[in-house]
Parts: sequence; structure tokens; C-alpha cells
Amino acid sequence: MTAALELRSVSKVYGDGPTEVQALREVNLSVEAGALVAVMGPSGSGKSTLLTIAGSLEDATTGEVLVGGLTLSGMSRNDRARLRRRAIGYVFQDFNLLAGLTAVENVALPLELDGVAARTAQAAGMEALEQLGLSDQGSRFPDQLSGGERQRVAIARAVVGDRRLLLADEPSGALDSVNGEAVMRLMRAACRRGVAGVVVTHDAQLASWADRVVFLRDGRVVDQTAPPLGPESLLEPSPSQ
Amino acid sequence: MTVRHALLALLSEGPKYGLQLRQEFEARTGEVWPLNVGQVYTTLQRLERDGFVESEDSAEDGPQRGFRITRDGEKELAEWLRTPPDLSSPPRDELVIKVLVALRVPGVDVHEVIQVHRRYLVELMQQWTRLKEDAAEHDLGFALVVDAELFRIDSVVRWLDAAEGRLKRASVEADAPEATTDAQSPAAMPLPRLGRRVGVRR
Amino acid sequence: MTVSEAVREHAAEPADELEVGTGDGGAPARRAITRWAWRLFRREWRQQLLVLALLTLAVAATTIGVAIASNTLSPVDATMGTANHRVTIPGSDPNLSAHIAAIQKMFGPTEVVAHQPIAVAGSVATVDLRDQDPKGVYGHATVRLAAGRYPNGADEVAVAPPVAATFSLHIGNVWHQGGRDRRVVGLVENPQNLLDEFALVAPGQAIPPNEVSILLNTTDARFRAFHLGDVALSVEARSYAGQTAAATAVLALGTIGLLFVGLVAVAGFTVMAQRRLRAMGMLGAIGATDRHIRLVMLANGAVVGALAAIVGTVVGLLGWIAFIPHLEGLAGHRIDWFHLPWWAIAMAMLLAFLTAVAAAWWPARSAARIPIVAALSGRPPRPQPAHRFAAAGSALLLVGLSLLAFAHQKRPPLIVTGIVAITLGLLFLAPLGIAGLAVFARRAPIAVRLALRDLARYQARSGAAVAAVTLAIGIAATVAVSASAAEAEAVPTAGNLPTNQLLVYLAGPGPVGGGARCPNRRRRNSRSSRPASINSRPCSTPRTWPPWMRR
Ligand SMILES: Nc1ncnc2c1ncn2[C@@H]1O[C@H](COP(=O)(O)OP(=O)(O)OP(=O)(O)O)[C@@H](O)[C@H]1O
Ligand SMILES: [Mg+2]
Repeated sequence: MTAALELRSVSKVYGDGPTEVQALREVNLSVEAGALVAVMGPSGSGKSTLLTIAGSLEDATTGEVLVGGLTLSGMSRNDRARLRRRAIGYVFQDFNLLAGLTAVENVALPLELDGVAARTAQAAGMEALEQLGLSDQGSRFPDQLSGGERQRVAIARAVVGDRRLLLADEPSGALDSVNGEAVMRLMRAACRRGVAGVVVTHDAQLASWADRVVFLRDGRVVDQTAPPLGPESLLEPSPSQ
Repeated sequence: MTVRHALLALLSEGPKYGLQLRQEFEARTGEVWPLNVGQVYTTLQRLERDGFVESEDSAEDGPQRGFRITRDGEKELAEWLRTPPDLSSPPRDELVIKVLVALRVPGVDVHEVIQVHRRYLVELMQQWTRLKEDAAEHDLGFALVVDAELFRIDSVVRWLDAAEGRLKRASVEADAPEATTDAQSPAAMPLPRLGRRVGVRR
Repeated sequence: MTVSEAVREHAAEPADELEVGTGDGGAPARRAITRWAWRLFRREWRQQLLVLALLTLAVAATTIGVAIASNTLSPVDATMGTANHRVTIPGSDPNLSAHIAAIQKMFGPTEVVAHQPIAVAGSVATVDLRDQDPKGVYGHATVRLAAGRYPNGADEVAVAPPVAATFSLHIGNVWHQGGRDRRVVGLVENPQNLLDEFALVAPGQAIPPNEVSILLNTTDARFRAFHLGDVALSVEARSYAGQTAAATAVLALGTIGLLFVGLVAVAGFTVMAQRRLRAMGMLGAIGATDRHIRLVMLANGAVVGALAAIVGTVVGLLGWIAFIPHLEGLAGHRIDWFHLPWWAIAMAMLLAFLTAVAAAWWPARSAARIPIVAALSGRPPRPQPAHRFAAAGSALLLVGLSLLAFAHQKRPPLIVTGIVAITLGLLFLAPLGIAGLAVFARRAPIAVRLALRDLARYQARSGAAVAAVTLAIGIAATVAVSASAAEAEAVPTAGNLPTNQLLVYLAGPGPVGGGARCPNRRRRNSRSSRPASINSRPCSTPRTWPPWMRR
């Protein structure tokens, strides 16, 4: 089975000459369907860059990016746009919903952009909101929602339809821990239904919701956590001397 | 256990006398950790017994006697640096010592040491989180306990993040005037300054 | 089937292998984008108020302009009504009724109006006692009852307000005039000429007629083929030129105004696009294509254009209706508010709409070109290097200046082309100037520095603003220079001459003037009428001119 997302020695260089910045260096990453991977690292380590490249918003300088087995590098702009509205969902830190559209219209927008009739799309959007326990918020505008509600609606939009890949850049950056936990629970729920998730964060508590945590420093993957041991291990004697 | 490894770390820089070891230990731990001469010598004796250090000349016992780390001692030190502290007791102090010590040990990448601990802590948090996720919603008491644990470990991770950031800045600052040495080399670490600052505050 | 199943079926993808497929969302996508653009406009219309107001003003001004242009001249002739020929036969003609019958037989429906002049004591002017059917086929537009009723029977009369004023008459008074007593039963007016001094009598009561005029509709050619013995017949034919030409001229002026507004709108829409940059980046991130992103701006432009067109037209029409009483006094005829060149107004609306859409096109295009990541973080597009257009700009500037020099203030086409070239040249040179200012800004005070930096950073809107200003100056300069060129060119035909000039009229039948001074050559009667064919020689016509023309 092909991984939902695969980066093969991806590097990204911004600028040139004296202003050159190596944002990513030879990054390899593979995310299976159903897995939630967290990317941790200090500020400027290239986390956001990794996500934008994985989501076809930017081109890698070298290396290969595959989404659902499809190589991004040869794709036209329109093909990428189509890939984004069919297979990739984004959640950004703070600015996610389009003002002027209600929550359910925001959720339905990727479907409508893909040619689904408005009524069908909005029914699907409502269903997605209901699954996340947000059915009351459907007819509200983004400025009538709290930050946490906005982020949850954004997650609903990112998974509506038949999305394969859920990319979240600090999805709970501006939220308190309760709301942050709610957001991460939603992401896990989405992944359990078969979506591959990548969440960028510098908050260890949020990262600990992931199946695997990848540590990034200076554009390099320096480490990652072992496969989870299962909670029983907490009951065993701790591994210190 | 930490005095033992701290002395090993000091010796890893080169052979030292017992008195010198005590002074440097106090200076590096920000003089918050007073150590009497007797403690130093009993610890050194035990280290010698375990084969981790050897004395330069076994003629006289006293402040003039020099010690040097053995290969076994170096191995023990490296292992200890990467061993996660026992988290059932407040872990911070031990971790702090480890990071402080790692700064002085030649050939040790502090970032790597920090990362080892960070990974271990995050894995631990993953397990706790999994517990919380699986626990029934109504088990409020359990959730609170898990949260407390998570926040405690989280604060340690944050300290590691902060320490790393501070180290990075310090190495950039140290690099800037001379721009010679490897960023990770202990010589580039402005540790003495750290000690002095704490001392001044006191 | 649940909704999500339906959606999944629509996507028609196997669960495992990802297929991107084809299609760009079609009509549902466009509808969704347009809906969003419309909602945004409803939320943010205040920020587009300047563009909206300017466009509305342009449309309103054009509407009022074309309305005035096409109504200053009455659409209906003051004497002929809706007919296009008017034949006048002296009342002294012995075979009067036979001739009338012959004309009626030849030209089908006609309308006969009998006139009898009534002298006014102490004045050379006369009052025209008129026997005319108020509901006549052609003449009904030249008679209107203002008060009372139409006369009925031999001793009743309705008078026009000027007549009523001259003779101090009111409804119910008896008017002793011309040896007869007539009771005033109503006030009538000629809507096409409010100064028309006439009195209306019942059919057959203007006896004996001094002259009889027959209104008819025919072609010039047909009329020329018609002969009626040796009667001293006078004929007028109506000309149709003027109104359409005036409306077209006003529309052309409106178009230039819209061009100016369009440039301002480009700057306005660019600012708006920058404000919406992050939202458009978001749209791109969730899978909108470049076309969709362009559509956001274009739909906004269309909404602004449509709204400005409608509001502008309504405002223009209201202004026009409010202005009618004033204009009636100036033009001397009644004006039907609904009589407007609707084609010109529709054209102005369409132009306003197209201007707004075209103005939105450029910001739309550049918004779609910004990388999504840059848009998401609100970074404006990198300014184009200033020197890129500088060469073209300098060339255009040179061409424009040399055209102006070559025109010697005398050839309007060269002047207009020259000024257009200079405007374009300055437009291309603007980025360089702005960049230069930015360099200078380093030593300027902080407020000036911020303003100049902003100009340089947001090149698109600065360029459009500079172009608008240049165009405005260009228009003013064009008008001034062309006017002075026209003055220099023109051969004066009338008015006060400079002391060093002399106007000489040459003898001959040409239109400029006859050798003999002939008072009736000057057409004083109706502005839209001209003597078409006159049976007798020039200068022999005075006797046949109806009295109301000798005003
Ligand atoms: N458009 C750009 N042009 C030039 N450099 C860039 C650009 N975008 C990012 N960078 C640089 O690339 C590096 C990685 O940036 P990135 O945004 O991926 O960091 P990050 O890990 O997301 O940081 P943070 O946690 O602060 O969001 C940084 O050094 C940044 O300065
Ligand atoms: Mg980031």
C-alpha cells in the first residue's frame, strides 16, 4: 500500500546568494493512511516549510513529494489545485475561515469548488460538522465563533469529502489547553477514519497525541519517537538506574 | 548519584587534584550545591574502586593527589548522560545537572543529549496521552491525574527547549567575535559566565 | 445513501489509489465564488465607497448630460408638431379649398390650421388667432390645455399665458378684440414654445383666415415632385440632425470621464485585493484555481459596476426630473421627462459596468499570480523592476513632446495623440520616479518616509493613481490646447472681431450671405426648421412668412 504522504530527500532553499536560507535539508518522511505524525522543532527549523511543500503550496528545491502515490513535481497548477480540493486538507494557526461565509458554507466550499451542487455540498458540510459536535454552529459566521470553534470548523473543512491528507500548522497555537486538546482529539478521530495527518507544533502536550513525533532542527530530521509502547509500560519500573 | 558523575565529568576534561575538583564542582553548579572535602574523597575512592578513575601517584593521600578518568569511567559517564532521570521523583534537578555537565564534557553534543531526553519525555507523554484518550470520559479523577503528570513532564520539555534556545544563542554569540571553533565545542560555551552571574546574584 | 456517500460517489475515486481526475468545478464552483464575492462586497462596500461614488457620479452626470443635450432642442417642432412638412397658403388664394383638397389627396393624412393675426395696441407684434384641432394628427403636440377648457362655439376663446398677461385676461373674462367679443374659457399653451403668443378658437372661427398651413408627412423627394400652380406657397421641412449628435458627444465625454474613474478604480481595487490577500491565499490553499481567484475580483468589479450603473442612472434621472422646470424656462418649451435617449443611457450603464470589470481585471490577474504561501502571509507581490518600462516610457514621452512641438498649436489630432503618448509615457515612467523618491526617502522625516515606502512597495496601485492624475491633467491640457488651436484655426464668421481683422461678405446665393442685406435670411423662427424650397425668389418671401415667425 502506498503511503498517503511521502517526502524523499526534500530540500528547500529560499533566496540566493548572501540571503540564501536552507529551510529544509534532505528530509525524508513517510506518513501512512490512518497515522498521525507530529513535527516538533524550534522556531525557524522549517516545520511550516515542510507542511507547505507536502501540501503542494510550494515546490521543493530538490527531492520528491508524493501524495497518495502521485508525484507533485510534474503537476500543472490546475492539477495541484484539484489535488488540494480533493485530497488535501489544511488547518492553519489562526486564519482559516473565509469571512462572509457561514461555518457550514466554509466547510462545504472545497466540495463546491470541486463542482458539487451547493445543496449537496452543504448537506455534506453539515454532516461533517455534526460528526465533530458542531451542528449548532453551522449557520454562524466566523466572527461569531470563538477561536476554538473556528479551529474545529477548520478541521471539519479539512476532512470533508474524501480527503486523504490532513495538514495542520500549529492548529491550536492560539488556544488554551482544553481547546487544544479538543482540536487534537478531532485530528485523531479523523485519522482513525483513515486520513493521514501531519501536525506541526512546538507544544509537547499536543505532539503527544500523535502516533509518531518527528523532531526537526535546522531543516533536518534529527530524531523521531519509537513506535508507541502502549500505556502498560507506564506501570513498569522506570528505565533509570 | 550525581556527585559521582559530576566528578567524572570534571575529570573528563583532564587530570585534576581533589581540591580543584571540589572548587570546580561548586563553581559549575552555580555554588548552589556546597560539597565538603570528605564527600569528594569518599566519592573519588569509590570511583577508583569501581575502576572509573585512577590516581596519578598513589603515594600520598591529600589535596595534592591527582586523578584521571579511565576508559570505563568515560563509558559510565556517557551512559549516565543519556539515561533518563527517574521521573517518579522530581526530575528537573538531575536533568539540569546532566545538561550542565554535558556542556563540559569534550566530544559530547549537548543538543544530542537534550534531544535524547526530549524524545524520552515525549514518548512518556505519548503513553500518558494514550491513557487519557482511552479512559472513559466520566473518569474525571483519572483525567486530572494524567493531566498533572503531563503538565509536569511538559514543563521539563519546555525547559529543554529553552535550554536549547539559550545554548544556540550563546554559541552564535561566542562564534561571532572569533568565528573559529566548532559551535558544540565546550570551549565555546560561556559556562563560567553563567556561574559568575548566579554568584553575583547571591 | 447518506450525503457523504453521495459526495464520495461524486468524487468517483477508488478508496485506495488516488486519482486527481479532471474538471475545474464548473458552474457550482463559480456560483460559490460569486456568492462569496457578493457577501464580501456587502460586508466591505464602505471601503469601496470612493470607487462606487466616482462611478455613480460619472453615470449620473452622463445621464443628466445626455438628457439635457437631447431635450434642449425640442423633439417636436413648435409649429409642425410631429409632421415633417408644413405648407402655407395665403388666405387670399381664391382657390383655397381646392388647393387644400389637392394636397390632402396627394399626401394622405394632413392637418389644416387656419391663422388670423390680431394686432396688439402699441406693439408691432401680433397675436395669432388659431383655428386648430387640439387632437390633430400632427399638431396635438403643439397645443396643451393649461386650465379651463377648450373653446366651443363662435364666441369662446382660449388664450396662451403671454396673451393673457398682455391683455390681463382670466378665465371667464370677455376679450374685446378685432371687433369681436369672445369669452375666455381656458388657458392653452404651446408646449414646444412657451413664448408662442396665440389664442385658440373653435373650429372654423378664424374667419377670414389670413393664411392656412397644412401639416403633412412625406419625403423631400416626393414633395419636390408635387406642383400646385402659381400659388405663393411656402414650405418648411424639418431637419432631424442635432439631438442624436449632441447625445453622442455627451456620451463621448462620459466615456472619457469613465476612463479616468476606471484608473482610480484600478487603484481602489488593488488596495482591496491587498486587503483580501490572505483570504485569497486561503482560497487557493483549499483548492481554488487561478481562474476562481480571478473571479473573486472580477465579480466584485461587476457588482460595483452594476450598482454604480443602477444608482447612477436613478440619481441622474432624479436630478434630471428636478432640473426640468429650470430647463423648460431656459429652453422655452415643455419637456417630457421620459423623452430621453435611452440607448445612450443604456450605453453609459454598460460602459460603467465594463469599466469596473476592466478595472478589476488587473488586480485580479496579479492576485492570482501571487504564490499561495506569500498570499497567506499577506506579502504583496514583488514590485516589477522599475527600469523595465522606463525605456518605453521615455520613448513615448519623446514622441508625445515632438508631436506637440510639430502640431504648432494648430492640429488637434496631433495634439490629442501627443498628449495621449505623454500620458502613457508618464505612466510607464512612474515606477522609476517612485523608486527614485524611495531613495530620497531615506533622509526624509518619518511620515514622508512611510508614505514613500508604501508607494514603492505597492507599485500597482501607485502606478494606477499616477496614471489617473496624469490623465486628468492630460484631459485638461488637451481641452485647453485644442481650444486654442481651434481658435487659431477658425475663420471668424460673427461676433466681435479683433481690431486687426475685417469680415467681408461676398455676393452670391451661397449660404454665408447675399450681397444685399436681406433681413429674412437670418433664420429666426424655429431652430429646427429651415426653408426647404421657396417658390418665389429670395427676398420676396416676407409676405408669405406667417406672423408668429416675425418675432
Ligand atoms: N518566503 C521565505 N523567504 C525566505 N526565507 C524563508 C521564507 N519562508 C521561510 N523562510 C525561512 O525558512 C526557515 C524555516 O521557516 P519556517 O517557517 O518553516 O519555520 P518554522 O519551523 O515554521 O518556524 P515557526 O515555529 O516560528 O513557525 C526560517 O529560517 C525562515 O526564515
Ligand atoms: Mg511555522
